[in-house]
Amino acid sequence: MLLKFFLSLLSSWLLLLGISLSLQANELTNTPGVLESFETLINVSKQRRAQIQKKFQGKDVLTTSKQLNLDQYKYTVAHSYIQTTLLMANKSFLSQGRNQTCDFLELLWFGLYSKKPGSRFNIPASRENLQTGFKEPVLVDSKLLSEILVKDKCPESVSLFNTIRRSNIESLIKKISLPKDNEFEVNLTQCQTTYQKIKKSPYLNYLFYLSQILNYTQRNTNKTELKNKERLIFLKSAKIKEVLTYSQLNLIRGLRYNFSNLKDFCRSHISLDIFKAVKKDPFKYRNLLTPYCLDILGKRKKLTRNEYHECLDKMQSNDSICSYSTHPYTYSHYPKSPCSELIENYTSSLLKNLAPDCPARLQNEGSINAGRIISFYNKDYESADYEYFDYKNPTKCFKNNIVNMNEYSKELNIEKLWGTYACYYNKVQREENCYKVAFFDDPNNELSITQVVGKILKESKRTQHQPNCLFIPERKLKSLGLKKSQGCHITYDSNNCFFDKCAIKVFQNGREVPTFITIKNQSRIDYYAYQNNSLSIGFHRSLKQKFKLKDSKVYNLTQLEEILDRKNVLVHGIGCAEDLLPSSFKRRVINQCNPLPFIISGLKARKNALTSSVLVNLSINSIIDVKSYEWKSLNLAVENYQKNHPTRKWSLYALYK
Amino acid sequence: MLFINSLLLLTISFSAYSKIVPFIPKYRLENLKAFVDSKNLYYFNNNRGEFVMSKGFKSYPIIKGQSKETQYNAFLSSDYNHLLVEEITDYLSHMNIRKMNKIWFTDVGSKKANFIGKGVNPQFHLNSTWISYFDPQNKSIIIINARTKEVYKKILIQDNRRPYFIPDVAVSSQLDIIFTQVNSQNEQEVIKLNKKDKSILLKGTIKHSDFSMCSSNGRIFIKEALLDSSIKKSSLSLFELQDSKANRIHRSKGHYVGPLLCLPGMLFYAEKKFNISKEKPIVQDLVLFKLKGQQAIIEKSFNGDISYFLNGDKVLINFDSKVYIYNE
Repeated sequence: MLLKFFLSLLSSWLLLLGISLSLQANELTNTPGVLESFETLINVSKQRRAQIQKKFQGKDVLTTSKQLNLDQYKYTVAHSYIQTTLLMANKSFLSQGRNQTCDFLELLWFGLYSKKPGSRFNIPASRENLQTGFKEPVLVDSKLLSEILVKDKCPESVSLFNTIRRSNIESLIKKISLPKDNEFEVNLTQCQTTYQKIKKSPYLNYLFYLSQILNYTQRNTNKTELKNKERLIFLKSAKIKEVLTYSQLNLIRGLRYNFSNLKDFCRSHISLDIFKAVKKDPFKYRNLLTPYCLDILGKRKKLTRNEYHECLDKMQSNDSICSYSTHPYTYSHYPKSPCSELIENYTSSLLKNLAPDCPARLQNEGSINAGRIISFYNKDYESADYEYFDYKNPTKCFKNNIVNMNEYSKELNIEKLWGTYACYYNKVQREENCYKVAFFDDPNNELSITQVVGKILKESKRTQHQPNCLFIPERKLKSLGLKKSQGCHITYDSNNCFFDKCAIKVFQNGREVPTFITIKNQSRIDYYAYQNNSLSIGFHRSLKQKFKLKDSKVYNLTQLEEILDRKNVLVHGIGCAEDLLPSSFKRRVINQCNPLPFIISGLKARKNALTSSVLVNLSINSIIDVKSYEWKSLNLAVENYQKNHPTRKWSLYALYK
Repeated sequence: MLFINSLLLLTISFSAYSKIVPFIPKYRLENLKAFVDSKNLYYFNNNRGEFVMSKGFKSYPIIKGQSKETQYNAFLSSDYNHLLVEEITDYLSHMNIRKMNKIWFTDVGSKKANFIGKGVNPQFHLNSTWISYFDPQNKSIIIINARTKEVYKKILIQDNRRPYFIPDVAVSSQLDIIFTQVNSQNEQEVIKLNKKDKSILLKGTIKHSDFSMCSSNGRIFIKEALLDSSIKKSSLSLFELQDSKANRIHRSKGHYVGPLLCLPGMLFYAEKKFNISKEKPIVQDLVLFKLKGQQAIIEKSFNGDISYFLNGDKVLINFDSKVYIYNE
């Protein structure tokens, strides 16, 4: 069935060429391909082509119009030969939907049926003597043959050929009017316009020819000995590079691979352009790039512009290099997004001002989302991003969100928003004293474990003054010499220490202080006021109150699109991890749903019917690693969570001014 | 590309008629956790945070739950005689993927449940004679004797780079523990552990493989797919007791997703098909692999992501808010 369809497609092409195709019944039944792979089909075609060529070996080769003698002879082409030629042609060059006969002949004229642009080859044809009717096999030069056939059917092609003969590359490119550099916006609508413009251009096949030249020279850069014809291709390529800008070059080069459909074209076009845009000012994207690039380049220092460029080149040539990054500042769900997706999604995200974080170091996905949301609405946070991106110290990678959350909980009197405590028994007061704590080191913050332990050591009279403690991995203490181990040290197990839960040991002058501090984790976030009573206003409602925001439930994509245009907008929700990341969290029984909070940080192609991907920051991905979802999938995750919710509460809300 | 896809499709046959029909439970679907049709027993989560068994017109709370927000997952054994229940406390107010859930064991029909440990992903093995679960805090697999409820083994898995990794576990009839882990090169591998030694049963064919396992009659089946969905290469392997390595029994150029389910004589898995631009998957097929003749049959194609799982020895499929059942 499939083969018949394919053959009928071929036949229609050949009929258009005025060459009748009469396939014998036995040819159909003997034709392999129905149950074989495409590669096999290609091989069969190659063999058939070779057979035909063999049959025509030693026949007259006609390379000039004089030899053709059109007054006396009529030429037809061996259909099986065209069939194989078509099969092997690049699909980007074939799907233009214009006059196919003329397209085919133009491609023949430009020699685009071979990887080497401008290749001419001898086409097996049948020559019929108009007077006697005598037929004989001959070989005709492809360019010459296409010139004969266009004269009858394709006046536009004739004028194209004439223009090309008369002009040089420079003047031709001017005539085509390619988009200028400032028109290469990272924008789908713009890309669509460019695509349509190119598709309708009478110079389309000429552009394919240029694309073929650029790709051919790129592939053969290392070739030392060039034949005459090859040298000419390299000269042309150099000329093209001279005339075109960087973006235009990328556009033309890509045609060979991506022009068969709009989606492919725009995907590579935009992603190429994004790499370029990021390269222009890598420091603007340092929040995104730094952790990945430190990992990719194996460096542990502030990166220079050149190093960012080197890193971007590596990202562009190896897309999956980002998926498997293991830098502490991307400590999160595995695998991460591939580089092109990472950069593409980040540039469209509304949460760009947030510094990279490491959610896996916190064992409470509600807190992760809450911390990010508070930081987003906290105005002081917006301007300061890079200053406290201290890549040398991974224990700080979520610190600012925690500090903001703690301030917020104090102000709004939501005690358990950050609910990790360090407690000890006060023998004088005969009661347990507890202090809120987080496991990071910051001498200027009351939550810091070093501050809290210092305070407890003094209060419990274990030291006279509050000591300045250091928070270090356990193995590091062992390596410190006697002198350096003086003073207060708090050690932790690097493999089992989180911001909200961590087994610690306290050392004074190198000697362990017997355990007297207990850590309690009582963080609770009533996200959407499940209790619905006066005691709990719920985290969502508290945001409205604190930042004077309006809210609305989000039920569909149209509504989401409309809301995302509003000021200070942020959409947050909870869905099932089994639907959001099915390969990592497999649903093993009916109605299984691990709640996973997330923030919607934009749309990938706004107001565009082509795609409607929703950009989502999952609470177990680093804030810089934005995922894109079809609305349908995201909605399903929210719906499934709703089904498991005791009161069937909806959990996708927008907040805005 | 479309053409290539179409040709590859032809190498797998389609089921003549669909055995997958909508599942209409006798109890409200949203609250349903497990069911034994033959005994007219339904297990569900009520709005008081209790795990309840319903029989006829009566219902009995099996696990009380700490508060109204307590949730449950129930894992029924393939012989419909036992149940493992995961109790999730603070379901709404403390969301933590690595939470230590309480794991309970109960006999089907019984009104009592025994607490057996804390962790996630409880499973029955070897005709419900063994139980395993994973402790995400200490990163260890715990194997328990289902009869005595005693801990048989605790296996610490090496894993620092993938914080949310949950290993797959299987037990062979000679009490070899087969499990997946991430090695120091950050690659997944399948390990066999017995009383004498620990050996690598299967390594990924290329980087970043992802393994799923299940066992049937003491034979262990392993599915290999790739984490990176842009590379399409998957396989099924079989490990038999007398072998020291797992042998690949089926290879595919597709992208397998979801868990591998074992039923007598057959396996189930899903395969994702991508559209031409490879951007988003458009179809997910539920594939039945017949061990006799080693034939892969597409049971049904779905226009989006599916999840599929077992209730006893029945395959249920969740697609687009609806549940389907596979009737052989």
